[in-house]
Amino acid sequence: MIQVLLNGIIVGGLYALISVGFALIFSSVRFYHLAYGSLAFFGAYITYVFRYSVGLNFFLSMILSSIIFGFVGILFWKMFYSPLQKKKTSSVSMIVASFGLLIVLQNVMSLIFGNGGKSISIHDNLSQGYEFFNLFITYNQLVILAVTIIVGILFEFMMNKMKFGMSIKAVGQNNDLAMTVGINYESVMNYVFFIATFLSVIGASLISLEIGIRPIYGFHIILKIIVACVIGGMGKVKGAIAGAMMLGIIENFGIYFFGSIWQDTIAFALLTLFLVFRPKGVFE
Amino acid sequence: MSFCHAAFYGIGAYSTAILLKNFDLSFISVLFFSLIITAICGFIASIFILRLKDDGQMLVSVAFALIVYNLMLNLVSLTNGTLGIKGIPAIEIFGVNFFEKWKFFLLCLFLLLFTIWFFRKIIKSPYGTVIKGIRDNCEVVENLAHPTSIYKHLVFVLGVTFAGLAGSIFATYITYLEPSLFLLISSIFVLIMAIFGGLGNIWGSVLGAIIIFIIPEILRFVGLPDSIMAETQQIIYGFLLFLLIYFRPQGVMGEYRM
Repeated sequence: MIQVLLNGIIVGGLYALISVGFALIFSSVRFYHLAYGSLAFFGAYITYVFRYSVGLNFFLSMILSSIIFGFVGILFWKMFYSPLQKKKTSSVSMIVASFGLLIVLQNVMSLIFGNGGKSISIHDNLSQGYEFFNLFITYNQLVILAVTIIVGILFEFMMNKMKFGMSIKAVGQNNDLAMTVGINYESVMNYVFFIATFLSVIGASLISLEIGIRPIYGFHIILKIIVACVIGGMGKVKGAIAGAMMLGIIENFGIYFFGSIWQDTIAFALLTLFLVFRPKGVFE
Repeated sequence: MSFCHAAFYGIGAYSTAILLKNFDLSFISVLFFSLIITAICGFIASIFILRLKDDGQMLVSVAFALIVYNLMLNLVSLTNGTLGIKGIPAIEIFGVNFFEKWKFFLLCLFLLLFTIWFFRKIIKSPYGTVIKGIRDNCEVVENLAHPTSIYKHLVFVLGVTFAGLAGSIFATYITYLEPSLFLLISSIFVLIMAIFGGLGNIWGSVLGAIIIFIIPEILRFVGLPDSIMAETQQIIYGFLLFLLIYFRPQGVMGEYRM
């Protein structure tokens, strides 16, 4: 049982890394950036390219591709979303447009890298797992846990102690008020999209350590992230982390009790129940 | 705005296939039963979907589509899982077999005209006026003492029943069903068709459908290799969706702006 809980926490941590960015974007622009998931896995593909075609160390390739994709994220904002928002497009239309972008990205990925899966590993030879107090954890999982915790702490520090982090929060809480005290909306948006996409690529690269990369995963992950954010309350960064953790744990217990074929069904049933009965999330 | 149309299309197709294969019934009665099944599923979904608005509604409809897909995939005893159902017999109505392509085409054409006629009839009727009113301004219609919630449920169930009808016909046409046929992507097709032509306009939907199915033919004509065909097609659909939202949110001939 505790083993299931541990696995749930690891999966939840991965979801959390990606959900945080999604919630950050939602809190400042109020729409669902669906192409976000595909962007994250595109980043994971680039990590793959750095790791195997260029031959860099896994961590270095992950950080390099995250930085590159941070800028791609800004580009998405500037090229696609900002013009739409200036036309006062409704949030439903935004979802549809963003979905169009997701389809484009996913198919560009399968054109370049093929539909088959690619797998990434940290070392060339397989490394064995560890056992603490009867709990079994693989080397990859240990790395995932460590990176998640480090990134989480850095993120918290940035949001609470540094100036641009606080201005992101301000825009999230009250856009108009933030602008009247002299916060530059456009530059805050750049930070938001950079940080969010950066985190998502790290998350996606870590996920690909466990399950490999396929173009369709971008779509799968965005659905899971939406579920996590809805559970935690849409647009709340802390809520997204908690929701992601809960989703990871519930999913793993679901697998333990009902078998892995019902994993997605459980997640989407949760989404429906939360949206209908508790749309503000668990924490109000 | 609902993303789950393909799910009902799938429910219609699957129930027709299962009924045709396992019971010795005539096509008309099978069609009747599968439409009832689709309508019941539609009603259950509408309870959840219609309680929400805008974004939430969209998300729940996506969730519903995925749950249906997962059920098709995992209820192996009923749907045969990923292997799918093979050898669905062709339609036979009063001794006339619709296996041949031209007969089938005539049947589809007839059904299309029937659908258009039916929906026009509804829109022109007093009910249609109320439905349009709900679309444009729900509060006003409610203040005029129309039970808007019942109307919404009715329209939803009616819409998905026609999707179920399309599904049943489709099942007998391709004679082979598997869950991936009814994945979200086909809902997106429906959505692109509707948005392209214009929401809230029947002729717009027909135009959208025609345009969507002409695109692959053009690509084939240009001479793209088959290996990158599917991807290029979808990239075009994706961009089309984005550009439509950007330049013409009401579609080519629509009345309703998203």
